[in-house]
Amino acid sequence: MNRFQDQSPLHTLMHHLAKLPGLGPRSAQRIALHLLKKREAHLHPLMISLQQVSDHIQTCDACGNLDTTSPCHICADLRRDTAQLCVVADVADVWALERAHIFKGHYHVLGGVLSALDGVGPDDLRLGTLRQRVQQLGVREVILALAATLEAQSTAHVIRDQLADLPVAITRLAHGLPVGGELDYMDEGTLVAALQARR
Amino acid sequence: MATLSRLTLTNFRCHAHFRHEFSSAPVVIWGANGAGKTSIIEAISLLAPGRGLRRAGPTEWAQHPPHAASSLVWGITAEVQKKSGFMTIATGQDGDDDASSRVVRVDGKNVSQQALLEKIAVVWLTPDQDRLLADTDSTKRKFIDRLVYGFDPSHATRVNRFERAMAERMRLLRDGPFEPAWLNALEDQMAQGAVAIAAARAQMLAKLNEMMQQHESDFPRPALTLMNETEDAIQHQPALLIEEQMRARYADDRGRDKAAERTHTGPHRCGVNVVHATQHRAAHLCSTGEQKALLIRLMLGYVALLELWRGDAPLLLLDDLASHLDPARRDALFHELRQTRCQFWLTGTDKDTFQSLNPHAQFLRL
Repeated sequence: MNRFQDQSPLHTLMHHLAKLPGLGPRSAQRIALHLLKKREAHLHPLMISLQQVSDHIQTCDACGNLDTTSPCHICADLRRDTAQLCVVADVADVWALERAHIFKGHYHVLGGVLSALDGVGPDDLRLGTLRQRVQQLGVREVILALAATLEAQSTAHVIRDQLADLPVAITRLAHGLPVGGELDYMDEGTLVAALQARR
Repeated sequence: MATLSRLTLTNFRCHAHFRHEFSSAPVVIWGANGAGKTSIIEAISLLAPGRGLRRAGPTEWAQHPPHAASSLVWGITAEVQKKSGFMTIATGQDGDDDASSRVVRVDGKNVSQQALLEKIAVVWLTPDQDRLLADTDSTKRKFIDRLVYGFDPSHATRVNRFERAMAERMRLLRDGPFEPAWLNALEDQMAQGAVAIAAARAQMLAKLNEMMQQHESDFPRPALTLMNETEDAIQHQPALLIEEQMRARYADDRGRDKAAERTHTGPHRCGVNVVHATQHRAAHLCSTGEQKALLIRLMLGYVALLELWRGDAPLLLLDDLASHLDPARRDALFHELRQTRCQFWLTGTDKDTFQSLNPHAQFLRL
């Protein structure tokens, strides 16, 4: 790439795109070229959308969700059950649970999971405010909706420890067969978890 | 048995484009040095998770510059026939950005590398492993773990998870923050992992030793034992009790582990003792030739065990193995290999070396 290209806005755009999760230099190049080819259809709406997101989306002070208001629409919804608090790692997990239309309680978004190797400690997560919310909302059940990874399970362990002295039940999502999954294709770990969590 | 019936390589090592069809008979690949013989069986070894029999990486697998006109940086496609039917396993790297990862597809569907363990077993011996039984405990342990994967694919996840928990704990001990609950959480997972790993290793070795005792062979029998307190305790104590002891031990050892910057207890410290069973001599005191013979016996026992447990014989890759054996042992090896139900693959520079296999094998000259 020559000097002109190195300093061009197009190169800067590709450089920024390549830094996004899941993208590399070649994907960034494809996206940048596509945006330029489809300026009216994709580039301009994307510019407007990015500006709006930057201007209006904020983190909910209460639960850590993303919304145009703080508190977010879930925290502000008086029909929600304050007795149940579902702890998730990221906002995407809130969206996943909301899509299922099954949970009617409140959420608490940690903003990640503990990982010493990635430099994510308790102070980097919303762990301190979790205890306060449990007490303030009068929560009777904390549901840990965290993954089965090492880091997520360590986080769950620490949360249990922090809430141990409160009169609150701490549960976790069941691990086991996915809906529609066939037994024959499941690994032993999944089958053991599914058998243990049977009802 | 599993038969690799067609192999296609694209931009892999020195093969811009290679395609060949095979029957279930043994395959002998012969030709001059540098012709790409080992590359072919290396490609087959990548039908198992990991870095293959040369322990290489994507930058070494890819041909530079790529010759074949293809969107693939490099690719391997194998048609495999098993009792349950045909399947196509493909692995490689397409025009994507992440040079460090290889994609795996089974019958056109993306799967994890670990999922390959469920589909097919691939076993190999290379000249680099000749002195493996006399090598360090770490090398022997990795070899043993690889043997366990063949029976228990979740063992790989178990080992990775233990190692990650150990690394996380060490980082916490070294750099803080000192959070007892976090340390407890990691130590709890380490204790569970340590016991599960020890049990899986001990079970596999017990069965392997038993299988080698039952099978007659011209090759000397090695006896393998694990030298670690957890592996020892698992034989006569309940797993939950050992887990509890391990948790307490990890908590007690925090200061000591932090000072030494290493974890003193766990399956990563397990020694592997290998003895020539009839001469009662440690493997590292045996001659190079004897060590190789012990390893061959171990491999033959393992293949028989895999056949028994999985119901499907593995693909067996033997790189440049025959040339280092005297004619009598070579013929004995070929004879014993033919008793297995494996499709086995041999490489060598001299076709005459494989003469005794002649009516039974398919020869491919490169």
